[in-house]
Amino acid sequence: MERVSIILPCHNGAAFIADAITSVLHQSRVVDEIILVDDGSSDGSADVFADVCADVCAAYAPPVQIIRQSRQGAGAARNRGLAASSGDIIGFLDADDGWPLDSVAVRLDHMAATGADIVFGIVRQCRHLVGEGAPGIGPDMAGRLAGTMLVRRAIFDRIGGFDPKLPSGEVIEWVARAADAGAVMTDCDALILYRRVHGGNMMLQRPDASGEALAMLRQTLARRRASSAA
Amino acid sequence: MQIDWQRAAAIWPNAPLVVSETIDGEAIIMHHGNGHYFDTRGTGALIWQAVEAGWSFDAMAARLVAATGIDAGQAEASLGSFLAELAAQDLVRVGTGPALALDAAPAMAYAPPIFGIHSDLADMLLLDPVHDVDEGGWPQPRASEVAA
Repeated sequence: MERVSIILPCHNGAAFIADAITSVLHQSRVVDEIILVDDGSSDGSADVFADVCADVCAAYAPPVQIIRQSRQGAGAARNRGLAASSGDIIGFLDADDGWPLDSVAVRLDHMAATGADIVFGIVRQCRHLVGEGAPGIGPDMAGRLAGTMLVRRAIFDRIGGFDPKLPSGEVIEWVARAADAGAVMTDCDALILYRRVHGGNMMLQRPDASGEALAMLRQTLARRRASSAA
Repeated sequence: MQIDWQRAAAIWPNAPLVVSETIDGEAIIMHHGNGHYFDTRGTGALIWQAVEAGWSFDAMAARLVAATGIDAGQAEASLGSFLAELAAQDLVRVGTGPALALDAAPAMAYAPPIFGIHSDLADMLLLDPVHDVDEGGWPQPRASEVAA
């Protein structure tokens, strides 16, 4: 059976990370490895994470790693977790989000049925609570976000990880690169991610977010031009 | 509605839906409402810079003439077509001044202003948290989609 590694990048997510890790630990398809990459938190995020794992893991003890690093950004944190992981299939969950209990199982089934390299799914935005029964803000929507993405490791081996120089949009840039490299992507029609909307969401509070997105798009277009010219 | 661009006192990007950045003779434009993004070629960036600065049609045409040496009639025709195409993509709107100052455009050989349209990342750009999110959720379906 293919092994599944889940990576949780986190920067000051202590207020929410218990929900996130609990939703991973209670997946109907038990994951094979969980890696927290604490990206320079100053709020004790890793301690909260460890406490939850200590309480829950006694039941079946999936291997858990906690990696601490100075703050380098989400892309670098995802890459660090990727480098430390051993699974055949990789998933990511941001520290302020959560998964339905069958999130991994549904995506694995879809991946097996379609032969896809990358599977995404449906996102529900939530204001305060994430989890079963949490009310959504607006309609559920298909979403290609880090938290909906389950990826065969072979794709990372082929095209590399996330661009650590991008302050935001690193997942979009990576997905565009994967698509250009011929990775087969599919979207399953099932609720996969509860995305928590809160005042501390990384990009909502940054006025230069649009400029960062434009820089990411410029980089993607330049890469494509260089590739087609080669 | 047909817009008479030549009578426009100021033409601006369709903010806040549209954001853009011009670097090294290329404009990258993103529409937050539909997730499409655009890049310019030819004299497209030269004109888009003037759009970012809220210039009038006449001032944009003069900028095009000054930079490329084409005659005024050709500049106006080229500019009018380009603005109509930008408007069809919901990227520009007619507004009021004051216009912002720009450095003189460097001399360049004339090439028609064109832009490329890219929709391959629309789903992700629409869902990315760069979007402002409120109790109404994000992104909002268009009225036409609701009606359908």
